[in-house]
Amino acid sequence: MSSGNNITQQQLFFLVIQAQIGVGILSLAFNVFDTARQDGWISMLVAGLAIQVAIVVIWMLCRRFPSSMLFDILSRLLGKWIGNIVNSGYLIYFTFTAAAVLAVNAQVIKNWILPATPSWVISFLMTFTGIYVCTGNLRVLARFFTVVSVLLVVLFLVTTYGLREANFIHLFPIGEAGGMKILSGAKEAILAILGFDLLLVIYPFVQGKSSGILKKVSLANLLVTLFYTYTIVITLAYFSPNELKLVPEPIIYMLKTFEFPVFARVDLVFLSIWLVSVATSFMIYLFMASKGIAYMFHRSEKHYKFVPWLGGMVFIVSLIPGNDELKVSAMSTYASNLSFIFTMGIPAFLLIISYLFRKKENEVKADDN
Amino acid sequence: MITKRLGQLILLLGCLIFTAGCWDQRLFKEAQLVLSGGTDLTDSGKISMTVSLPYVRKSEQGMGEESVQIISAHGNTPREARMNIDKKIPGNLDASKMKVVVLGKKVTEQKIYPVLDVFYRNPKSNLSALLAVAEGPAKAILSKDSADTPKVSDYLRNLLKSAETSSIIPTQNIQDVFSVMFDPGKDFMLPLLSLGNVDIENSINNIKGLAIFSGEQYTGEYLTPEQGVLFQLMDNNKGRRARLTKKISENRDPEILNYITIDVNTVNSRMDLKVSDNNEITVDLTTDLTVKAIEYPKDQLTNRKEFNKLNESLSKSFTQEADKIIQKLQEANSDALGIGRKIIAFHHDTWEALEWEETYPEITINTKVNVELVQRGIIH
Repeated sequence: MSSGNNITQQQLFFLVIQAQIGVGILSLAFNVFDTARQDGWISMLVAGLAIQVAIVVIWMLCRRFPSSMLFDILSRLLGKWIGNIVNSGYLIYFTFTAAAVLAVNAQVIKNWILPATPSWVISFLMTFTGIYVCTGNLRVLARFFTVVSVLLVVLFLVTTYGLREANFIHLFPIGEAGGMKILSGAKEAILAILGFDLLLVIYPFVQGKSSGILKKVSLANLLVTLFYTYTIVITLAYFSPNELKLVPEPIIYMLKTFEFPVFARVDLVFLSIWLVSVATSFMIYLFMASKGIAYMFHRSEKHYKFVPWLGGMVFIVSLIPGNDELKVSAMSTYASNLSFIFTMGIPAFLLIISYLFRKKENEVKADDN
Repeated sequence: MITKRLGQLILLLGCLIFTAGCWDQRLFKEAQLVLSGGTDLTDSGKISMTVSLPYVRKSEQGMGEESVQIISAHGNTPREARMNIDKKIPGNLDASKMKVVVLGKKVTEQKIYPVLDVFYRNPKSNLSALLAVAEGPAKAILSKDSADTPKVSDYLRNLLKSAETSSIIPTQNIQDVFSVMFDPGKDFMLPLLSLGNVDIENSINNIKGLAIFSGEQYTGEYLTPEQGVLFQLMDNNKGRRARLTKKISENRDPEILNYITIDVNTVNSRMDLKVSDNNEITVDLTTDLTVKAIEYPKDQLTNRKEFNKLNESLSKSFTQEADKIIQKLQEANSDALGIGRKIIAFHHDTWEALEWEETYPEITINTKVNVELVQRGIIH
């Protein structure tokens, strides 16, 4: 492995945060409210817990193969043939998710800020930036993600302004929705904090002890879960329940109402910063896809050669639904359903296999156990 | 070296093309900003829209003269009426800086959400605009200009803002109303604008009070400005200032000696909700005020005894006034205090069992206002 690929655990922390925070945050409160009503924030906490379990599963799997990427692990555990098929599955999942992120992003920007700009232009700019960053090595990506994480503080502060108008009585009665509804709300919430699956690909590049890795990723997940719960609580308290049913992007709708002395449209500020978080999610999927395809062509060290082609493909796929809002949301639903298989199902399956057949890397044991 | 620099420069300039966003530029010179608008209902049931457009008449020297043009048009929906207005003016009608929206009385007698939908749906609209009801047609309110403030939009906005400051009306924008409109456990009230005088020449826009809404419809009842202030206090919603004049005795001569004017320093209002086993609802509303006397022509506020006497009579007369307000609200079936919201939150089973719209007018609401005089200005 070339040294430019190694990242510190601190950088891993920011990578996970930025990968998790993405397009989902805008509609999060609306989606969980749809099923869990005013208990949506509980759903979010449950979702965070579920994700934590998935993180531990992925970590346990990767720990057994400390110097292999997901694609390597797959062919070791499943054999060349099936390994390659599942690998292709992951490739499709990564590219499709990246395309869904692009499509949703273009739709939101078009709806809220640039109604007259063709959506392909919006997607093109995002793709271009993504390709530019992803042709660098992992360390470049990590440094970029670390720097832009400062912007999250702004998102937090702007959202906090909503407390001024929040009416917490809207959160009562707590627990009225019932366990089942809260759980199905949690499914919606999980979709918004996906992105931790990057651990599957970048685990071997992280320096330091494996216990440290788990700590950092868990901390990132905790932070994102709390941040999301916070935004959900504020939006639930701000809108009256029947109004929230009509507002698919409640958080920016709320911000649109606020008026500061200098600028009137806070929602635009929020969206511009949100755009960066979307870009980071997009980049990480593009990066993982390029790593995967490079592995399949036995050119693991030169993933950057594949980035422009992949980027172009993602761009074209993202244009398929066009301006049809329902098709765009169908696309993101497909991506989410795929993600349950690829981020939870398959890793758990692989872990079981590796334990059953006692397969792990033969080299030196992972350094802390 | 030079060529490399040049190449970078060209690349940078090339990037500029992408950053400019040519499609979505909205030039100020092409836009015709609408600062206030009104919606009325014609006799045939169509929507009639009135907007005030500010423009500056160019003059030969010095500052141009600012003036306002009032334009109306009809349509089946507010949007269509707006498009018809657009046909009458140069430039594109742009409602993104709307400050005040006035609804004519006839519109508010129907459900008002349909005429406001256009504001909520458009990402460009200004959700912090203020909403008010006109006692008559909205057009009359918007057409009335005053001598020193040529822009009716500024005039109305300042009128409403100062009423918010004085606690006559709640601080609420068009989005806040949207929120309450869809809440089954709460109703809203909107400022009621009136031209006051029948004689058009001397009339001036003023706030007649708070129009009481039940659900999405105006009930025709309103709270007077004084009742408005007391209601905001009962609702724990004091603006920057709350000032009330009260008659505290009957028989002094001259008449002016019977009155006191107070400023409210602090307010603490508590709603105590009791639900019995057979779902009977009793509400005890206690409002504690500490006040400052700012006008008391009778003087002699010298001792504790005098204070207590005043406290007692003020408490008594405010409690009576509060009862009147509650009675008005219950008769109009307007749950402006949000009692239903509390029942949803803390007595959910009761809420499920009740038909709130039918129950609310029947429930018992006991009010109690306790006034405590704590300051008396710089003389006794």
